[in-house]
Amino acid sequence: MELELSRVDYALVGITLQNAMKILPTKKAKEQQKVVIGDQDGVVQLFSANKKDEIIVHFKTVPSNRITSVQLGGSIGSVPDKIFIANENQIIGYNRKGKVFLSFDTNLTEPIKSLFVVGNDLIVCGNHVYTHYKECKESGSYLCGDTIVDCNALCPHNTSRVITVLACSGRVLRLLEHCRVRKMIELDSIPTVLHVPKNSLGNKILVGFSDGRVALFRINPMIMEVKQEILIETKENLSAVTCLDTFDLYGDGKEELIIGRRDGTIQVYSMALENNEFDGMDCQQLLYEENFNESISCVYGACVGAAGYTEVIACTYTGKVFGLTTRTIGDTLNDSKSNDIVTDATQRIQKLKAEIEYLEQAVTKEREKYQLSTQALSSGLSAIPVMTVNDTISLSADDATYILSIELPSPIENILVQSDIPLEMLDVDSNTAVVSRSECDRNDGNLLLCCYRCQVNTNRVDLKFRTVEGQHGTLRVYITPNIQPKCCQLRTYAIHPLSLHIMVHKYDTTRPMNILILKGNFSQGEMHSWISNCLPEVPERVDSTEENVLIFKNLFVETYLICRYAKGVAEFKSDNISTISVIKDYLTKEATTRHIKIELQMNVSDASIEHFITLVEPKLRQYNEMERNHKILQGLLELNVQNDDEFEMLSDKYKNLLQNKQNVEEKFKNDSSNLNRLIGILIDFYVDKNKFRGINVRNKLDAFVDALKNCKEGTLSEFFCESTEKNRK
Amino acid sequence: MNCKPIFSFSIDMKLSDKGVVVGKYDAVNPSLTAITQSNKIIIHSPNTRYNMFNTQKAWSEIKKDIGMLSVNYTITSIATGKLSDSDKEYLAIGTETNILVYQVDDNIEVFFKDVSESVRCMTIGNIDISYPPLLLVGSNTTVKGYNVKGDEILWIVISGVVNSIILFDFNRDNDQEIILGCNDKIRIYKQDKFIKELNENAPVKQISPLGAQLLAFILKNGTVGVYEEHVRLWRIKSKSCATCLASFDLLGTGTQQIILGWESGKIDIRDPRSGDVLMKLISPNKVVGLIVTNYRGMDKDDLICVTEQGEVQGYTSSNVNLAPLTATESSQIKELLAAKQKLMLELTHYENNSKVNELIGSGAAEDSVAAMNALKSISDDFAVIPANTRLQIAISTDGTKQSSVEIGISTNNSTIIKAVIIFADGIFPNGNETLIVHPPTKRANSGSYSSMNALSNRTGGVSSIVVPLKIPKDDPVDVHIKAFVGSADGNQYHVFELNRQLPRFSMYSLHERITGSPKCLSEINRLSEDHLSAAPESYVKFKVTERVNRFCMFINQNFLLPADIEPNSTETETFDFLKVSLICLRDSSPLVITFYNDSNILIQTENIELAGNLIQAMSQFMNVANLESVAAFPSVVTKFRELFDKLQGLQESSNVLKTDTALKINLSKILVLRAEDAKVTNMEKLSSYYNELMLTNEELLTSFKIRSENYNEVQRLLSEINQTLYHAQRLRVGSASAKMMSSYKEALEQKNIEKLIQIMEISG
Repeated sequence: MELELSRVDYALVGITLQNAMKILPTKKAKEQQKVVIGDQDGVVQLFSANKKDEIIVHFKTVPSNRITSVQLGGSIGSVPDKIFIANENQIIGYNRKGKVFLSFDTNLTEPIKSLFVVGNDLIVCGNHVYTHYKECKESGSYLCGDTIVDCNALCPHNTSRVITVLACSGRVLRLLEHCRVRKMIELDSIPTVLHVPKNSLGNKILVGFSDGRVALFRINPMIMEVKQEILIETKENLSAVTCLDTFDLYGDGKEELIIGRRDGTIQVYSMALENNEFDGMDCQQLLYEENFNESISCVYGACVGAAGYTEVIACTYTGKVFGLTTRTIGDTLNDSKSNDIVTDATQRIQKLKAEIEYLEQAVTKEREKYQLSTQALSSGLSAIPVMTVNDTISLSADDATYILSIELPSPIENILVQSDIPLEMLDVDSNTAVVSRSECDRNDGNLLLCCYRCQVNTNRVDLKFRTVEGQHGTLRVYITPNIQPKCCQLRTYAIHPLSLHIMVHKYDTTRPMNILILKGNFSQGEMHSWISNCLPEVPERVDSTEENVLIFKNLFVETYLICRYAKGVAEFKSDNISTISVIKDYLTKEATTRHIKIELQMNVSDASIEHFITLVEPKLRQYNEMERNHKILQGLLELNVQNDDEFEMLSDKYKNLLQNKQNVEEKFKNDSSNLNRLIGILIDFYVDKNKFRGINVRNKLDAFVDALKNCKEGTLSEFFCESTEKNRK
Repeated sequence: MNCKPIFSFSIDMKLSDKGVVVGKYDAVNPSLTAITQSNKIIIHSPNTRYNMFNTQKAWSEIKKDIGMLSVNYTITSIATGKLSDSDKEYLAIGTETNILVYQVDDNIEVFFKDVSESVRCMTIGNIDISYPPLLLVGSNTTVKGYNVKGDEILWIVISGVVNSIILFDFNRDNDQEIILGCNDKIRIYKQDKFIKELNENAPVKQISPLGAQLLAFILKNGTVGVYEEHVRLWRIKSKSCATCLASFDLLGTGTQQIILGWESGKIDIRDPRSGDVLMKLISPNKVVGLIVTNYRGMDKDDLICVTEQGEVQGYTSSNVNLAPLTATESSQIKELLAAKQKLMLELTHYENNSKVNELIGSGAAEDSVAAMNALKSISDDFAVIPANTRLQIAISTDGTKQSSVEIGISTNNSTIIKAVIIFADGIFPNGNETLIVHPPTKRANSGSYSSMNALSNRTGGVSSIVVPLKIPKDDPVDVHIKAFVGSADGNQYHVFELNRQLPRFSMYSLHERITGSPKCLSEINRLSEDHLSAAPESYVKFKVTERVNRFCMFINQNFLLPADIEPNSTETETFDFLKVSLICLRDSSPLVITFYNDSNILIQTENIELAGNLIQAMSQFMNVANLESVAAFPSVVTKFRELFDKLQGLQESSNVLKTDTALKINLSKILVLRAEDAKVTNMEKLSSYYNELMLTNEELLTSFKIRSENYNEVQRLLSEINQTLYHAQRLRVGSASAKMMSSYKEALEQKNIEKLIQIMEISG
């Protein structure tokens, strides 16, 4: 790590989301810049720091509706220093003095989620609708089936074209021109943020992903070719990217990549360059990494605190605005010949203390009033507003577990987790809360009851859990923040029957498939809603009125599910018979409760079973081997081999084990539970497969589990073939 | 800010967390000594080379400065210290079956002693200025002290496993007391006299002095804390478990900090008085030892940190005071901002509350429908309950059919209780600290719900919940109740918090339900009359110099009776006796306590432990320093005799087994030799020798299994016997109790069971 950055706190605002903050440009580089920020209380403010580290607020609006986006714009060719904010379905423009020069009601039915401004063009997105305004006149719109996460625009140089880029939750980037989709870029993961590097020629766009990756897309002007380069690879437990910027922190003409993540990490990477322009060729190097424990909503490279020193300026979900400056204590001492700096800071502390004292008095007064109102004779109500909870639930691709992260603007006291289906809560390193499981009574609909008591000053908590496919239900989480009057909030999360599936765009067409065909008196919309209850990540709307196709992949065993459905008919194909079984059970149940008659047609492919085994067997063997190796290694360590002579007497396998002992231990620590999970899936598979043939194999399960645990090549397929043959007879 | 190690090396061996110590075996240079995971002892001595000639202890030298000692028994603990007049420190090795004290420098075995109970922990030191130093050994139910000759000088019997033992001047009388970290409590003894116990909720893992004033402890459930005398200054509980601790001035502040090593490899530097974290160090592996010693041969102590993988790192005290640097202005600003944010949030809550009230209030003035609609419109965004909602708690032991204390929680209106979390450390299974009650979630009108008979009401949305608590031990329990109260269809709930302390003997209840008004003595006596026939025949009887009012107070404060016992003004003078007949909710065994007007107290119960607990609690309540008693526990005595007989039988057979094993080992050795010979001389016989060898081997294996079962049984019997002795001792207080200890010891040496029983009954 090369960069040494020190933290300077600037301001405290309300809750901020992505795109809540912008840095106003200056004419000259390294001049002190102004920061504009809009929060969830509806306050927009523009501030800067003066030479004494004091914060000067240039303007500040009164609270109003939630601000969802803050953007900068200006006529083409001039410095973009006009501020545009989006709240509900209004767009308001401020100049840098705080004067409103534009107030524009879009009349959209849904509130604006994201906004982008280029010259006279306004790009406005709600959850599903993208609308393009030219000089405040609607020039077209586009409706997405899935949710629009972020929008941005490319303006290729020397043209007046505006290419809109929409990042959508269905793992696609949509490139639009004149409100028509010109190109769909299919992605492996859900995009979370878009960023167009400032100095590019309008042909590059950086995309951050929910699995932590960052990729660069080069788009040629004809929008025909797209080249993707992965800049930051995903690693285990890497948190989602929430914001991105490119900035020249060193002042050496090379731009660095700044990444803010959901778990509060800020990273700075160096990037290789090409013609003094940002370019994502290989070899990035991590220059700086630090975790701030609160999810980062915006990061920028800028110059705010002191002229001449670049810094990373960030704001967090809870509204803390701080800088990570390249100015060191030594610099500060040199700059201010006296000990000004010390007095400045103490002054700030005193000011803050005074503010807090005032607040405390106010709070005490209110507290007494509230206490009084709760007396027995009072007839009033006690109404506590809902605390905004920033929560995301995501399925992690590398170990097929769910991660639920919860963040509050105030410290969390405890979290109560309840579920009506069996879930396995896993340990998360970053989570320091004391976990306590409670006995639960199945009759009360409780299969999981546990309580996370958080350590002081914990604002965010990550929970990790594992689901079993085929079981669906609800996860309830009660979050109690440590704030008076004490309240708790309930969040519910649906766990789908096929919880380990994700949406993909392509599948391996060569695989043998089992097919389930449903015919009946249902509409496409009904089938769509059934599917969306059965599988995660299904878009809320159907794109086409004709046949719709959705493709899913099981993250744990890597099988596919293809759903093709239209009015009155639906076809499900999967190379995993368990998946088909779950779908069938769920859909028949749904149809029965709604009194819809359906006709079922099953086509079980024997080839698919063999194929599935070849898919899983290596994994099973690998985990079995891993467990055995670990056992042997423990024995070998007990032997305590000390010199080379003794070492040479061992067999090659053992020598190898001893040499890689760290590796073996590590692997065992991370993956030891996967074997049992895999065995569970195979048992389900075995039962399902035979169920479709009308055989009950409950009595054979013990032998089957034994076979799985001592898995040798072929035993597994033998087991399956044997029962197949029997059936034929 | 960070702290860099000043030296670091690796032993390259996996170390166990059973013990890492340092000893000055040559009287000058410290040597790091640790137990490896493969049951060996390694000594790292950078300054001296020991002549490891081959003895039965099988020294081997692996690297030039590391020596290794193999021991044939499972090592459980090690300790170092000066046990004789010599300045050279001895190494004491405790195993499952014996203790070896070893003089490393001259390679001399000081003494070797078989012990009946597995060693758990050891320490060397003076328990009294006049005494020579002793090796103190803690095991399952006893603590023994040996002098340099191996003579047993000290013997204390206690009820629980001793996990940690140190010597520390607890009550500041300039003499060291023995501090025991047991499975349930921290106990303090002055020589063999019991002084005090400190209650903790989980087994104590380690105790350690912090300077001369403070005593730090680690519990097995992840709690760490510090005592100053008997006052607990702080304790914190975290997810992972601390493994070791030390006291060292790492930050250069001039005072000692507490250094904690964790399973995760984290090392915390904390303020010993407040527990605040001052700094953190990260090591990649589990920390197994933290030692403060002068390891570099300079005049300065260093902190040595040893990890499971055998990495050793040394840190030294900082030259500049680092403490102010940890609290810089920017971090102060950060904290202040956070405080400000919290206050602002609370303020908005109150503001919004009054806003809503105004809104509803103005609506109600016009018409109630509008008010209802307004209320509905906000109920998604607000947690709305009537302001006068109260949470009522009733703790009772009424339900004699149910074997638990019941906590009834209800609201005073139609608001529902969504969930209840009960925090109480130490009473729930598997070390969990909470009991969560989450009634079924189907929407319905409010009704009554009891988790005991859940089937009766399956409709959800309840405004009354009964939570049964089973309290495993007779100790006071603090319960913190959090109830989530709101409307049936909201997403936001008010949290009501209540704290209650359950008295020590809450698991005992009257036979019948009575009303809550105070009861006079005759009423209580009448209640008891019906159940006299069931009174247990075992009893303990003693005299206190207290009046009946005081006794009633004791009962009222320590039991969960539905009504207080209050003698009438006339009764205090005229009463004959007060008989309280109770039933234990755990096993429905009866307990009768009778207070006679001559201040004699009779406790009738079959449970000797309970009787002891009652006497200890009473003597503390009534400030009795010395208490003699007469006891008769026929059932306990019969069982005691059985245990004793069984033990003797098992010990004899264990000797037989031992010789048998030795014979067989010899035989197998001979067979190996013969087989080797046969390879040269007589190939035909070869296979028969090997067959025989295989058979012998199998027999050895079987006899090993028998032996290990025998061993486990002996351990169990011993601990049961010791526990009975301990409980009998607790029927007395003060010097009477201390006297019993020496009488016990005498009788045990003579194996005189009759005498033991006599001591138990009349404390002899």
